[in-house]
Amino acid sequence: MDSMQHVPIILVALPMVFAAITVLFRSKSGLQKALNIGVFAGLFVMSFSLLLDVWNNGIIVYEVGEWGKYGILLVADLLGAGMVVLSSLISLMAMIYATDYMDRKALDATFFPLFNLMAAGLNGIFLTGDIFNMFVFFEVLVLSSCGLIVLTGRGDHTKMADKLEAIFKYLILNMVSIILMLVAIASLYATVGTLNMADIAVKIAYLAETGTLPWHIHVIAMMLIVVFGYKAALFPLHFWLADVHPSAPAPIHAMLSGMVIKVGVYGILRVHYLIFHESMFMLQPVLILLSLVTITVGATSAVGQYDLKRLLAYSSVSQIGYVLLGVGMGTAYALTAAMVYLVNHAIAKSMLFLATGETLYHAGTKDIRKMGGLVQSAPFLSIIFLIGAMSIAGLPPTGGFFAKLVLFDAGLGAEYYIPIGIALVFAIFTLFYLFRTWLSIFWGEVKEHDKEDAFKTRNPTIAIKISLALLACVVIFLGIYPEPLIVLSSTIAEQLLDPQPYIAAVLERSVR
Amino acid sequence: MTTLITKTVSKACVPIIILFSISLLFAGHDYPGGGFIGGVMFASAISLLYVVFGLKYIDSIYSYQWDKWFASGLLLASLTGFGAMLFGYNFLRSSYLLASLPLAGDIKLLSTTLFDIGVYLVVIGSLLYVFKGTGEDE
Amino acid sequence: MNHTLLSVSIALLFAIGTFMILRKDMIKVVIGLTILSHATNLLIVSAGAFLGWRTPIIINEGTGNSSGIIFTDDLANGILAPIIPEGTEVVFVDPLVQALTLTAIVISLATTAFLLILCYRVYQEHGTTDVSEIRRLKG
Repeated sequence: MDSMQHVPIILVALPMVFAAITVLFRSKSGLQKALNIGVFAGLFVMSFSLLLDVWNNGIIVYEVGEWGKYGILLVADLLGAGMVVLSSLISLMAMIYATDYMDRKALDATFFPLFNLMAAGLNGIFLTGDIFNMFVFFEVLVLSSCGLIVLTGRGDHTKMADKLEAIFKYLILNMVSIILMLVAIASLYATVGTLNMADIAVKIAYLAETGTLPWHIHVIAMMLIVVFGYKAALFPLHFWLADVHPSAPAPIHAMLSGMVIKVGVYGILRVHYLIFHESMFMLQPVLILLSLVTITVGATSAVGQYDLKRLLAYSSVSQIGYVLLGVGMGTAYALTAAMVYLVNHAIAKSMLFLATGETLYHAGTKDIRKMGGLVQSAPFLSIIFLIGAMSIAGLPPTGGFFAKLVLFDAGLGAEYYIPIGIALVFAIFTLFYLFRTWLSIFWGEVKEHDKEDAFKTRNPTIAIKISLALLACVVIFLGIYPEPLIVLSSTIAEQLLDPQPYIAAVLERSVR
Repeated sequence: MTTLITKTVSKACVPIIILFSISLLFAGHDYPGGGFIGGVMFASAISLLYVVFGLKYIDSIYSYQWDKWFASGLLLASLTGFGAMLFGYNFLRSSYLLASLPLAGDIKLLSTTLFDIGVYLVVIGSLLYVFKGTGEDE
Repeated sequence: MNHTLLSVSIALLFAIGTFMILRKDMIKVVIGLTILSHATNLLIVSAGAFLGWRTPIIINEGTGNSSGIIFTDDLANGILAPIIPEGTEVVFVDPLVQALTLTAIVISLATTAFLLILCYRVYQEHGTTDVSEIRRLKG
């Protein structure tokens, strides 16, 4: 028996087992920290070996319970496995960071079980081949992240009342979008009679061939665009993000902005490019238009902010617009660019948020106007923040430079001159607001507010420094040597545009 | 709610409800029932006790830690899935054994029953944890 | 007749739920969400091979009469799985939608429990459950 065979299910089920184990050993903090860092390091290694295996041997299909195509299938293709590697990397770093950042009370209570469930939800979404199962993992992800937002960390100045309000918005809107997704899934099931995404793709292609494609397939595609657009904070549905994300403690904020909003992009890439080929011709212009508005609204809202976390949250809205712009353009090169952008933004943004949490703790306030001259007391944080800001703004030698370069090149190659022009203008906005922020926090005079005795002792601990430095290394590495990522992304783009290998792998393995 | 009538009735009813919930738990493979339904029924019986006798009285007899039930149920359910791997099958692959036991007669021993017991414990634990957590709050 | 009534009641539930989630009181919003999720559950049940009087459970097990024809997938004749061709006798209806509904019910139970406790905590912190008064996050 092949030793790699069970890796997909282990990536999903192992965090669930550890969610249970960490509830049973709630009060032993030291043991919990070591155990969980070990588990997440193991998950990262396993996901990386899964990606290598998929790269070498093709798509891996795993039948849970051996029910053939009628049961739940886990499908690890390059897109899924790549996203799992990304999410494992970021959750490992967030976990290392959180062991020193979160309050002792939060660590003892619910942090570890919920974080494990969140990782299980993310891995499940990226690996599942069943659309209803995707909905279930969405719920796991949403409920566990709601529980994580209320916890407090040491740099967290948000009041409990504000957190509860933010969660209420997040959860109600999520429920509405989830109900919309269920309606879409039920209609899809009533039309084609299967929930397996490869099987749905075959049947819809068959219906389209015989000319009997019902018109409500297009409606279902639009409903799912709304659902995934809500998850990804696409323009008319972006308003919750600026309230919810800044309310979370820094490691969770990094997970939410780094990975959880990417879930929406993944959903569009997976579901729409696999199943709804026939509807993409009318969805692509909508996606391009909405992503341009998202870029505009996010960037202009960020310019007016003085609350550091809120500013970066609006920056996330704006950046996700760039990713969706690549997704909307839909050529192979543009999808490559979207993937490169997604990876770079996920890593750089989560690093920036982790650094922000520590900066807020160091400065003792979240208002940018009250900070100043922190480079003297926190040189390490200023360098990390600078690297993150450079990557998001797209300056060499960081990974963000290649992401923007490839995206604009792809747009020009596909002759989308006006959208690329608008995106370019707001890239300059990004540069402006990020560097204005960096300058006013770390440069300039030391403000009166910061001259308290306490604040010089509030320095990052070793674990926090390690996680930030490792992420910074990854960002610089992606800027100096981007070939592996670009080659991987272009292969993913080819697989997305030609889903036949995916369908063949799923259906051939499982018909019995 | 602590009248004599409710106390007497719930004393008589709760064991019957619990027995019925267990029978639902074990019925649930080919017939209506299963871990979730059984768990909800068990949780409603216990919450009836909480409502009728009061949290403090029940806790003074024995203070249940429902979160432990929840965690062990989740552990049991997921380890059942991993158990199939020991025999060289995929995760959650189920199997059954037809056995004839003394007294019980011919029965079907299913590996999914273990999973169902896990679900049963998860449902009981989570519902009663929520119930008790909100009830204890002043 | 049966299906028309079902569709009308699903539509009515969706309308009531949508009206309720637009109210100002948080509890009413939560009630609206539960009504919406019940409407969705009904929709899922009606999405499968739904006849209204057959159960999804194999009743006459062992008699050899329990082979399900609802799983036939006949692309050549234009038949997709849960849709029963005209004039076919079915023994039991599609059990998959029942499983999906059960999953959706469990999930909506968990979410509703979470939301109700959230409302309670919000009431403790803010002293009100009126949504229009709970607006501290701005900017």
